[in-house]
Amino acid sequence: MSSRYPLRVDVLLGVALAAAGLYIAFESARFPKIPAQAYGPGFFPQLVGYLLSASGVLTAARALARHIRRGKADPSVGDDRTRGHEASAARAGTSGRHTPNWAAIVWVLAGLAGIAWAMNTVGFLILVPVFLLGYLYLVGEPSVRSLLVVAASTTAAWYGFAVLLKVQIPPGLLELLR
Amino acid sequence: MEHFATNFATALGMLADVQLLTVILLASVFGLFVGAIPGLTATMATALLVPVTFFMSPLAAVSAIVACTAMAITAGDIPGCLIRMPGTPASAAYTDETYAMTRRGLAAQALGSSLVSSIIGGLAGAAVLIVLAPVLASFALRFSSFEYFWLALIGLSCAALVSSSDLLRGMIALLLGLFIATVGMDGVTGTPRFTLGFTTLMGGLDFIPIMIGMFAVCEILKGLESRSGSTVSTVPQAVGSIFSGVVRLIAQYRRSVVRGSVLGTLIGVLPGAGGDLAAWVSYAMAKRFSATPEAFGTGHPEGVIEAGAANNAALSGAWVPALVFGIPGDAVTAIAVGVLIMKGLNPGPQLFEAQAPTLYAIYLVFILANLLLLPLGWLAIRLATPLLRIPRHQLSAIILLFCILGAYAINNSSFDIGVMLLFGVIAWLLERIGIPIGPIILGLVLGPMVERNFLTSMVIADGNFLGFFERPIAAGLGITAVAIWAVVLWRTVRPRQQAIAASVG
Repeated sequence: MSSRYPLRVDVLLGVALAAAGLYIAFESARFPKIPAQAYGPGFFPQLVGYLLSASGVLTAARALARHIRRGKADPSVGDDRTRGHEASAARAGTSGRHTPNWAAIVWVLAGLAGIAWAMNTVGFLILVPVFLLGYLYLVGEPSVRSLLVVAASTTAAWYGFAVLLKVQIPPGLLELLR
Repeated sequence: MEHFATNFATALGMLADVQLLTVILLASVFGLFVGAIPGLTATMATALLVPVTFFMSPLAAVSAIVACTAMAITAGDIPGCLIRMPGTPASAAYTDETYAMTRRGLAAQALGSSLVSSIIGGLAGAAVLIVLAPVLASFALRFSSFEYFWLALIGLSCAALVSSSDLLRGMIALLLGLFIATVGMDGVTGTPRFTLGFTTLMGGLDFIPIMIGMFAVCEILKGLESRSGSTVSTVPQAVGSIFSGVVRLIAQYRRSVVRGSVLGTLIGVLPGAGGDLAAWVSYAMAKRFSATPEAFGTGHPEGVIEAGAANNAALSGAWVPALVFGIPGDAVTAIAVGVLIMKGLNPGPQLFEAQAPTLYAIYLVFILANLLLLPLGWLAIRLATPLLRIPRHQLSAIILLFCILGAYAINNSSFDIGVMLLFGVIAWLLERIGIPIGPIILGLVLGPMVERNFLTSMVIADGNFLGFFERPIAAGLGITAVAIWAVVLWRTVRPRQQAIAASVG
């Protein structure tokens, strides 16, 4: 039941969880109590916060203990980062042969954030096809078929949700054409 | 008996609705499609389906989820068998076996036996659900907040224990889910908690955008991280007649079918376990009890049949605690419980009294979905070869489109697209460091139940924690919960003590 992740990952995770847990606990302590009761809306999140904090401390302590044990057993085994990275890569299904497509990842993250922020103003039928075409370009599918897939799927999805399911999808700038 | 006949007749009438049958058929096709695409899970199919169920009647919504998941789990076997890429994690347990059969020219036999055993397993699980759920529900009518608190705690404990090989990481995931559940106005006093000044968060975080983010957006980010092929590189071979000789094969391994169905249902009932675990355990069990264990891994159908029966049986089994206690058996039923609550059908024993015909109709949907597997599964296998040639990235673009629309459509709010993105990134980062997502969802769904029942019980017991052990059933459940954690802690500490003793000695 022990972690096989690098020391750095477990220690950082532990510290982050401990800090987040303490913040949740202290913030929860400020919630008012139920009249004439020792408990209130703060009790449960406070408990969760303390447990999260304890889990963080345990995660970091366990990683440090493992590191010290390994160091004692074999001083040459100082760097478990490589092994840990390999283990995490194997677990994530990303072997060394694959290079992450960071451009596409950033596009997806920024694109979704942009859609969340500007969809009401710019409109679904403008923003989403641009986002999807950019995505397909960055993942290496800049074909005419991709263009057709985006056009057909966006239109079908818009029809399904806006017309059949009566969801009010923002027209945005297209409203100006009316 | 008369009561049963009346409810059953009403349920049949409810099912004989063209609109409902169309929903079941479309959800089945959707499930088959998603399940047959490598890397897309049954949970992801369900998460993407939920925004559409928002516009359906409660029965149609649940029926769509039941049909979609049964189909997705079964369809996951197809790419695993043909190109050694499991469609769903549940199929991964026997992918090497089915692929070995394909290499021996037995692809049709592998897919046929897996399909038929899945149907038998699914029907067996549905039978257990039909028999066991009402019995448990009549027993559960005597439950108070004390019993529900302990039950939810046992459910959460099991979820943390079985979700990951690392107990601590399972616990962290669970606690994160419980924390997310506290965001918004508290149900007892109306106090806003962790809303960060956003009025949209006063009602809490909507679980559908979270679900879409954690399962669908996260999956796309993982795909980009590993650059999992823009097209499927291996061209699958054509499959012959899948039912030829399958009856003889199922009859030959009938014990495996029975064992897989029983074990799958039992694992399904266990909160947090689900079809993935059932398939792995059943495959191992088949090998353990086989007369020819050395044949496993060389293209032997025995393990495929047993594990195929188990993963579909687990799907139905997971609905027993979900319907009776509102405690989901796995991530899919966690989503389904959320949908039931959203539709005003609060799961629990009262549901069996107040909505008996609807529940009977849900039982019938389980049977219908599993029977539909026969023609639709056959069709999916026939269409698998062209389907597996569709470029993966064009599919993921369509999935992104539905993620955006699905998250938006719940409240007609683009804020929910932001929530979806945030939780997609969180899930992606957490999975990179080995924190499982399943317990987060279970914590999110069970959190309000645990908190509400805990606070109610504390008020009733006047702050005395011993009050949680005063009622006999509550005491039994409480002792079970304590025993689970005692065993876990003992098993965690003992090897460490032995290691220290060995190093000292």
